[in-house]
Amino acid sequence: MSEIALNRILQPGGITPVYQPVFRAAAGEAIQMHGLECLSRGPKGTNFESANVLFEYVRLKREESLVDRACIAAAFRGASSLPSSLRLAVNVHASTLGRDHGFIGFLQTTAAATGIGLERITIEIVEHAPPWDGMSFLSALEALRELGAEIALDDVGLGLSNFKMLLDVQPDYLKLDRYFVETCAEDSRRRAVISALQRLASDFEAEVVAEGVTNAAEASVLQQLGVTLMQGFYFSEPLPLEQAQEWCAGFQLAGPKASGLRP
Amino acid sequence: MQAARDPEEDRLLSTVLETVADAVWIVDAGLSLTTFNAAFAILCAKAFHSFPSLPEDWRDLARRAMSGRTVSSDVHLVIDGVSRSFTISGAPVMRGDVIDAAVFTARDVTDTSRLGREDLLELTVTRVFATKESLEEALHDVLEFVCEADGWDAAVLWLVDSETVKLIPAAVWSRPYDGDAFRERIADLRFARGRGIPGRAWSRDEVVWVADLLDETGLPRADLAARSGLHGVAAVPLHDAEKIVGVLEILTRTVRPISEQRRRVLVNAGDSLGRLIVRRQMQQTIERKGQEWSHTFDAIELPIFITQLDGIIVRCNRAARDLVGGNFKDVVGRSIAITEEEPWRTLGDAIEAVRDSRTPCSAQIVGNERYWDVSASWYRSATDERVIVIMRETTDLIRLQESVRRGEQLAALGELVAGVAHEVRNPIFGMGLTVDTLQAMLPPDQDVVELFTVLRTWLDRLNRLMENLLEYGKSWTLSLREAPLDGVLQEVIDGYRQLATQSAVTIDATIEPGLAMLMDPNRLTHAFENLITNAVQHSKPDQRIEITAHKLHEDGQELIECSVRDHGPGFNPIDLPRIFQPFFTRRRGGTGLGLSIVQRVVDEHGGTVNAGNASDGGAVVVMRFPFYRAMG
Amino acid sequence: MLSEAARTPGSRQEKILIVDDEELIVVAMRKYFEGLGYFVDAAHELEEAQALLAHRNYDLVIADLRLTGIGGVEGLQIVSDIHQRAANTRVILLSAYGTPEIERESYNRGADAFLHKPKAMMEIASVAMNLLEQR
Repeated sequence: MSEIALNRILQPGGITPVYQPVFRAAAGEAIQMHGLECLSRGPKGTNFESANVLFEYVRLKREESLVDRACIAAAFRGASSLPSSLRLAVNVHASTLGRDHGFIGFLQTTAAATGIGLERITIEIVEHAPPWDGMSFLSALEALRELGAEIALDDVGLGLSNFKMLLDVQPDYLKLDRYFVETCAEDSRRRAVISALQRLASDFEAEVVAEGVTNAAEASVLQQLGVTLMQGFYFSEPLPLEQAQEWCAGFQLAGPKASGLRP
Repeated sequence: MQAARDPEEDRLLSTVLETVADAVWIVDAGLSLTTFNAAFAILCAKAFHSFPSLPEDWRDLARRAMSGRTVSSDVHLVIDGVSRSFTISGAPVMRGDVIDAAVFTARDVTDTSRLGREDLLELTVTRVFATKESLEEALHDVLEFVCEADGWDAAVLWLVDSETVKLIPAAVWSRPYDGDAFRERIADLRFARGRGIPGRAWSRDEVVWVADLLDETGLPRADLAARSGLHGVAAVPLHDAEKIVGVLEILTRTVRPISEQRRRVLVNAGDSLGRLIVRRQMQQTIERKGQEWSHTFDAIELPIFITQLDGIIVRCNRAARDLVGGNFKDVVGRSIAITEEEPWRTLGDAIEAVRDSRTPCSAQIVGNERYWDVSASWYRSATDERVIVIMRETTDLIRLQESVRRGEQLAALGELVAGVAHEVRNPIFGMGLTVDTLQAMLPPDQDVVELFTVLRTWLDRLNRLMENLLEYGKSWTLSLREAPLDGVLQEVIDGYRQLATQSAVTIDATIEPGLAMLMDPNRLTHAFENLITNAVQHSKPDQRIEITAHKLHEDGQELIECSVRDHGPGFNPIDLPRIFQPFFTRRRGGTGLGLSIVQRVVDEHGGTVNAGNASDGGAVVVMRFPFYRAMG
Repeated sequence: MLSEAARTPGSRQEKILIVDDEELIVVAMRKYFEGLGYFVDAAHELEEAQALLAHRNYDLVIADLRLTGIGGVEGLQIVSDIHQRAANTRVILLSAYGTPEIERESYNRGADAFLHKPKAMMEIASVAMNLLEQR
């Protein structure tokens, strides 16, 4: 009886992908769409519709790998109809990379089946909580790089996303959690943290992606601090496929204004 | 020669001396011959070719006698060209405290010695062994004969004990006037090789002859000898082939020097004796083993038949005889085919099979509601061929297996039932909640309320049934502890007040305090609940239910008696024998398990329960439990 | 019986989480408590309940002790979980087992009420409402 929830999640259609646009908003320049972060919703009408609850559950059940695969499959299927110039970021648990030895093969197969080049993919590593096999994890990262994918480290500055992780992973993107972004316009200390992380990122030849940008002031502050990649409700909430398709279409054809984006 | 001797005495003495056939002579302290008879004179003349005088050889004897000892000796003298044996005996003569003379006799013992003695001893030994059954008796007789015939005063037959490698006295004989003293003293003695005179005879493997024990030093029995007045000893090793199996020891009160002839006689006798002893011992062993075997054979509870190849029974043990019936003589000599039926039929077949193949055969027999495992094997002795048949009854085992299987089935069924009950409970609960919710959501229409009440009643009944099933199916391991029955009862009664009030039934409780019992309160509560529920449900409004509990003394036992009684219609007498059976209830609306649970719980508590009708109507259930009195 | 006023959804602010792997029971209870005006979430397994508790606040949790399958003190995990995350959340445990040891242990871990199944809906609701009023 207790397996029903997990089974339902893993059934076809159990996971619904939503896509949140990520923008490059450099000061004085036109906003460009950098890519989309693929997020997941659990079965409709259940508690797992919310990603938080879904993944909390999945982690308690220790089935991160199965669900990561399902999420990627769903995300790629949908994304095959989106413009191929856009990067796609998918969330993968560190434990999946460390323990699921078939995962990279699965990634390749799924990418090939959906016509998505791996060079477009950014793997966002989440929940890097031990125990996981350090060696397997790092060699998985190497393999991903060889396939052309980029690596992002999620929740930088929070929890176990520490400097050691930065050194071990050498990510291409550092994802800045909304905790640091909210009220950064008023809070000088938050700005200090953001600034430090941006400098660190550039020393690592990586970029910072700010999450949870909710208003213009925040966007502006970020720009000033040198952070140009942003996502958040200010720009767009995560969109179901159809809306994402419309958005991208509108954006590409008509530029920023047509899609209602404010510079 | 002394003066002042009585002439009458002298004349008497002379007559006696001349009448006696033996040679008699008397010497004085100076070893001079003072008196002698004609026989002595003739002896001296013929043997020594001399006038009557004390022969040189006999001076020693005289000296010994003068020193106060009785002496005896065997001598050989050539008389008329023939060697004859003589026994000389001598004793001191006391006048007051002083020994002033010694008297001697010499007797011709040739005939008895030569003719009889050598063979006679052997013949006698053989005869004794042939006629006496027990070895002990035979040995005793032999010793007696040797002593009587050859003039010994005591004898001991020592046998080698193989375990301790020592000589143990197997038979002891001494002259009757000696009483048991000698025998008692010998009984505990043991001699190792080389120790004491018997030990010496053993280790040297030759006759050991000691003329006078008192001359030897360091003998273990020196004091015994002195006390018994024994002087001369001969110890003869007894042989069976090359092995020494014992020592014959003969003792005398006189000083007896060795005689070659006697030594020879004793040696021969010793060999015969040794052989006969060993043979008799072997015989006894065989007999004993035969008896042991017989006992063992009979003690085996498996029927064993030993038959000829044609099936005729030549031997059987007690168990086999019992199986056939009758006496041994009714069984031995019959064919194994006692009857046409089993097990005899298959036994016959088995023996045939063995006969045809000369290999063992086994079979299983069912007959007359008994089960057997049978094995038959072929056996060849020097003279015969036999079949040994051994039967093992497996009836009990098979019945036990059946009952275990039945028991397991019941247990499995019980588990199934319990499992079902458990599974069903949750849906019932869910239904109950749903009914509650539904009712809460609907307007309080009278019909609706009534229907919902009905629904709830059904659900309650289902619930109680499941609970009872589970309770009934619970395993017998209880957690017993001491608790007062009155407390438990009172709680249950209190819990029923409301129901009782609703049904307008009064509960009258007369409960003695301090009814200590070893109990599992949960189980007991359940049982009482069932009883009171029954009572209430069988009562009409304004009726009473009576519950009592008190101590009782009966047959020296302290009991607690507890009863629940209603004034309803009571039990149908026809049903009474079966009312405790599960699902027997005739009452609609009941679960059918109530009373079964009561009986089960009472059993678990070591009590008894009886149900019946009260004299003035109504059902009464009486339970009795052992009263618990704590130690100390 | 539910009063008219009480039957307005959302008229009360409190959130109840029902944890039971028996769908029937969840439906009945949900209907009842929503009828009383509470917000109701339901979880069918322990991990689902834990996931919900991690991201939402509840005023009351009604949990069936059978959930962890084994019975015994493992089923009390949920009480400990709740206490770790939100000491303010009241907990009612429902159980068919209810040995005195389990009951005692439940209270030790912070349960507010331990009810033996089967219980009428009204009784459960009455205990729930009392607990909620106490906050």
